[in-house]
Amino acid sequence: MSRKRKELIAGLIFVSPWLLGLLLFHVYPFITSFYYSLTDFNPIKPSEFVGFENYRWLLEDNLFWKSLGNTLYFVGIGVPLSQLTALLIATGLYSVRRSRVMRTFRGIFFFPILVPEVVMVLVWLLMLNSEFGILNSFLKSLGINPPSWFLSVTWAKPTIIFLRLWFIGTSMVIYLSSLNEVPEEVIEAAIIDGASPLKRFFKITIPMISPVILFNFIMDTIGTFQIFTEPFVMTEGGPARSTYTLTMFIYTNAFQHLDMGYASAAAWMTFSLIFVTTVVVLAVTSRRVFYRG
Amino acid sequence: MRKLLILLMTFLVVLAFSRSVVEIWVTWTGDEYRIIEDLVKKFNQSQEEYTAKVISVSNLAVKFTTALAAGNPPDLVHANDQYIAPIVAMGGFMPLDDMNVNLEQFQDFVVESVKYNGHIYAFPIKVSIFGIWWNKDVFKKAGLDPDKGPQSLEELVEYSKKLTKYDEEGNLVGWGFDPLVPQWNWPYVWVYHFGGKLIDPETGNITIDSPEAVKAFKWILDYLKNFGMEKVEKFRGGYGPYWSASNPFVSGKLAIFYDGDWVTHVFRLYASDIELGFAPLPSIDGKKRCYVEVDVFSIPVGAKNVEGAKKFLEFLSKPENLIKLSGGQLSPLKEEYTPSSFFKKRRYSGKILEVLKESEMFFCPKFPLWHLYLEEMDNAVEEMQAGTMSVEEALKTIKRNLERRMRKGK
Repeated sequence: MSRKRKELIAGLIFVSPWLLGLLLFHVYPFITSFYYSLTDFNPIKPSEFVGFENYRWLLEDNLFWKSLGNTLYFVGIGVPLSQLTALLIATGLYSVRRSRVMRTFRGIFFFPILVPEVVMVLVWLLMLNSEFGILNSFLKSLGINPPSWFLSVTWAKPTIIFLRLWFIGTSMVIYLSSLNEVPEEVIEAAIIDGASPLKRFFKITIPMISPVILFNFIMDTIGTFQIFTEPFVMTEGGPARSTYTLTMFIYTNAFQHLDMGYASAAAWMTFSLIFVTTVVVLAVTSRRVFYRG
Repeated sequence: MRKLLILLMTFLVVLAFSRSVVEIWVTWTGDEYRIIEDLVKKFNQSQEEYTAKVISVSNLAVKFTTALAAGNPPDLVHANDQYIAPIVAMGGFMPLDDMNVNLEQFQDFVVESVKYNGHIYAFPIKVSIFGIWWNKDVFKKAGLDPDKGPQSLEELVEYSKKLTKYDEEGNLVGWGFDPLVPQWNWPYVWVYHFGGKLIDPETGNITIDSPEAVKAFKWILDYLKNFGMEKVEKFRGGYGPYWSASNPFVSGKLAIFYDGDWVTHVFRLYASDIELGFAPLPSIDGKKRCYVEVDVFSIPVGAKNVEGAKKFLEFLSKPENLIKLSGGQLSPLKEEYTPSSFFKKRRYSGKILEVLKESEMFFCPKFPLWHLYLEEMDNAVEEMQAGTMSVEEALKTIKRNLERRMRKGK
């Protein structure tokens, strides 16, 4: 056996646990879920092939459209807001990169990522309680009459978007490292040419880090399309289903109604939506993203 | 080799004489859990074939359906009568017609409540009766008769207004009565108290949009508007968890509370010195009506130890065990099977039984999509309260969505 062949076999052996995991836990469920989406499938009873019936019912289902609308709201408002906040914080930290303060604050902003999401959500639930929560007590002391954050149809969605800003640590760290990659000589040349800090930021820094912005934007969009923990733990999709998202729709149909076929069809619709959104974002930004080299 | 053979033989002998496990999932915690735990111990001592293990599971409904889907359910699951039809329709409960239990000892309505499509699907454990509860001291302080609850809906409004307190800014700090406590309400009972039904028993049609139901929810909305929807919403945000000292009724935030008789357990745990009053929720026509639920045990399809589960039910069916299991609530047994000491020992049993006897009982309908009916109903009351839908529109939406799901299921 040649050395190259031996290396190939050794390599395959080393990656085989991962490959096996990928095949068993990703590829297999991925393919079977599409088959199940074409069946009337309840795990207790034998499944029955129904073609695209589940998809037809989905298009007629008001709750599906409502959950889609809510999810698009979270994506449309939540993603730009969280990316903008992460970029602003990263820029702020970059501007003090030579001081110790930067390290401390970088740790502080990243810290929420280390806390389990459910724990954090429960803490926020107490802090935002309309009667005895710390935020409302503070607002009351200022003479403001605060709303009931989670029981109000008007406020429930914005409150969840606000809470998700707590988890921008990963995006912020990626932005920070990309800012460090912006060549200093280009910035210095711009300074010599008399460019203002704002102009330098928009004309040099942003184009230079645009691939990272695109990456963070796409990852956050995919994550937000799958938003589940916050509405599930905080509001159970309410009030009046104002925070009921696509993943809650899938979960409820799969594990509470045991309508796995219908849930699989909804999951495939969600997947298609994420796929199309990603392709559209890539197409729209292709001329605006600057790849060095 | 010889040593290995001996080891193998010992293992086989141990295996042959070991008891098989009966896994039981219950929702109970605290006192109720201790009672079933004692009974399980007694069962394990009474025979040598099975070892029962009881597990208290939070959010049981969701975990149970997930376990059912995964093909790994418990051998016995604690539920109540309203879930029999939907779970049987999903194919999740086994018929128990052949269980070795004397059904004659149970009250007739109890036996009826565990039947679906002519088969018995559950073993009744205890009966829960619903009505309004009040703190007698609070009534006394407000100048109301502590032994007599409101007799009509008009009186309920009047009492509630007398018992409501505001701060200097006009915010609610104590409320007489909340007809729709978030996450702890039974909106459908109001339809019955206004003379309506959820399902037409003859045609099987959904009747949630009937004039009676519209009237019921309009009454509720008008009632809430008396206190200001925004104020109510904010006040509700301060309700603590049900099983805690910050339960709005235990903590005194609400003076009158609609609930099942298990609320007495909450008071025993967190405010045992408070004396409660109990009466049926008033109906529009003055008739006394009470919503009743029956706690049950069922054997899921896919249970590993069906025989052991049936043996445990046989053990539980002895009157002394059922009476113990019912705790402070009503036992499902006929009176002749219940010792008179039962009523003397328990603080509220006499009053509960008196209310039950003088009231017309009603149950939730045996409807295969009942879990969806509840979901739709919860959403509808939230829409109505938020003002995003009118009462008529919200009730019609329930009907339309349920009928759509029924067509999909066909």
